[in-house]
Amino acid sequence: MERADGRRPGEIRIVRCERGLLSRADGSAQWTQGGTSCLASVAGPTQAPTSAKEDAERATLEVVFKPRAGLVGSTEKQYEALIRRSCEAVILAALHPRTLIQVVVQVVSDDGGVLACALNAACAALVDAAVPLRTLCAAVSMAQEAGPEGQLLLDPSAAEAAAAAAVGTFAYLPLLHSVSEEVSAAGDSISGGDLQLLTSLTRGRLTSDQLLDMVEAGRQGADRLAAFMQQAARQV
Amino acid sequence: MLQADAFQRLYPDKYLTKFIEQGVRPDGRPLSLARATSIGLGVVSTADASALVKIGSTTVLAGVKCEVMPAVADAPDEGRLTLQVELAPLCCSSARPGRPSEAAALLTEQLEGLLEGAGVVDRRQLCIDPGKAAWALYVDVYVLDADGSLQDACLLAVLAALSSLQLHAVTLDDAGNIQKAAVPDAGAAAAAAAAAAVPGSPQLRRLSLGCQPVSLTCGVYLGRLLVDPTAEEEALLEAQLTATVDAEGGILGFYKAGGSVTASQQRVQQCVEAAKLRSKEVQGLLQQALDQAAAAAAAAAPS
Repeated sequence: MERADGRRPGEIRIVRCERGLLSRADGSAQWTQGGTSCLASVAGPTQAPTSAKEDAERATLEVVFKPRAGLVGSTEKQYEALIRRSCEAVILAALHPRTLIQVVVQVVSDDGGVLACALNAACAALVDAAVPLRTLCAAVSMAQEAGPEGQLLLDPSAAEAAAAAAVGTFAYLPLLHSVSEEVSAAGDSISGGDLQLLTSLTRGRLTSDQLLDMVEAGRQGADRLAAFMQQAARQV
Repeated sequence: MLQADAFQRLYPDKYLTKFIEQGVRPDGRPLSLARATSIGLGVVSTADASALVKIGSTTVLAGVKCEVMPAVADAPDEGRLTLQVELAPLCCSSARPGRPSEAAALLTEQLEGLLEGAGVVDRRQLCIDPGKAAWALYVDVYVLDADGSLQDACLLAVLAALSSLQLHAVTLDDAGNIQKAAVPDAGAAAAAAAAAAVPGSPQLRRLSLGCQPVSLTCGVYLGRLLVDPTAEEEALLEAQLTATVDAEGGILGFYKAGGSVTASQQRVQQCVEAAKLRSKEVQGLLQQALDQAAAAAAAAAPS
C-alpha cells in the first residue's frame, strides 16, 4: 500500500549529502532525508582543553546536539549520548591519544527521524574531517503502524511517526558484514548473525516479532544508506 | 603470588574473563540470573506514595507527590506527570553534587519515554474537574547506590510507587477551592492511612496503570550475555542492551547505546526472552509488596 507521500513502505525519502560546507570547521556535512535535514561539523583531533577531557589511551569524543529551536532539554542530552556512543564505536580513537574530537550537530529542519538524520550527518562529517574510521555507521528510523494490518514504514515522516503505534531509531555497521564473516571463520563466534545492530532506541508497544522485523527491515534500509554514504565519501 | 583482590584491581578485565569463561560471575551468580530484588512501599511518610527498590546493592528511592493544579487550556481534561531522576552524590565515586549529571538526564529521558510511549498513566485519570482542576504528579527518583542496571531499578521504583499511589477524592466548591471529600484537613496523613484500610474506600482512588513495564539490562562480554550486570561488570562490558517488556510480553523499549560489539538477531531475541522471564518474577514481587502494604495498613487502622 502506498504512503501519504506516494512512497512504498520500504522506501527511504530522497537522500542528499553535501560535504565541506563550513570553511572554519575541520570537516562538515549536511545530511538531508526528505523534509529532515541536519548539519554536522567536526573539529579535531585537537589538544584537549582540560585534563578532564583527556585520555592517555585514546581520543575523547564530544557531541553537541542543537535543536532547531528552543532550549536543550533531556531529549537532546539523550541524542548527544547516543550519537557519541555510536560514533565512538566507529572512530579509531587509539590513533590520537590525548586529543579531543568535537562533533556539533545542528538540526536545520525536522520532519521525523531527526536522530537517524543527525547520526548520518555526524558520520559523514567525520569522513569529511578525515578522522580515521573503522567502518561507516548508518542509521534509519522505523515506524510500526497501529492495528493488526499495520505496516512497517521505513524512514517515516513526522506525521507518520506521530500516528504510529511504535517508532524506533536504529544504527548499524552495515559495511562490517564481510569483516565479521572473516572473523567468525577464524573461530570467533561473537558476532553470530549479521544484523550488526549498533544502537537502538524504541518507543511504543511492539510484539517480539514486530521488533525483530523492524530491526531486520531497518538493516536493509541502512545497507542502502551506507552504500550511498560510501559513494558520497568518494566524491571530492 | 598475587592476592585475588590485588589481581582484580590490577587486571580487572582478566579477572572478569577468568570468571566468565567458567560460566560464573564474580559475585557467584550464574550468567543468566538477576540479583536478589526487594521492594519496600511507603518508606517516606511525607510523600503521597513511595518505594525503595534494591536490586543487589543498587538502591533507588522513588517518591510521588500530588498537587492540585489549574487545568491546562490545551488539555482541559488531563493532569500532568513530571519525572526527575537524581543521582545522589553518595551513590558512586563519579557523582558530584550540583547540576544534574548526564547520566541523570539520560535516565530521566529513558523513564519518561517509557511511561509516555507505553501509556502507563492515562492523564485523563488525573482530571478532577474538566477545564478547572487536575492533579499534577511529581515523581522524584533518587539513586542512593549505583551498582549497575540503574534503569531497571529506577523503573521498578517508579512503577511500585505509582502502583501504591492513592489519590484523594476532591471536589471543587463554588469559589473554586479544593475540598477534600470527607477527610478533615488536619491530620490528613493519619486519615489517609485509616482510609487506606478500607479497600475501595470512596475517599481514596488508586490509579489504574495502562501496563506494567519492567526493564532488564543485559551485558555482552566475550560473546556471552550477562543478565543484570553490576557496576564493576558494566565498566568492562563490550555492549549493553536494555529490553523493557510489559506483563503480556509486549516490548515497550529496546535500548542499546553503541558499544564495541554489535548485536545480532539472536542476541536481540535472547535479551527480549530474558526480559520476559524477569518481568514475571518482578511482577510477582511487586504484587507481594502491594499485598503486604495493604495488610499492614489494615492492621494499623483503628477498628
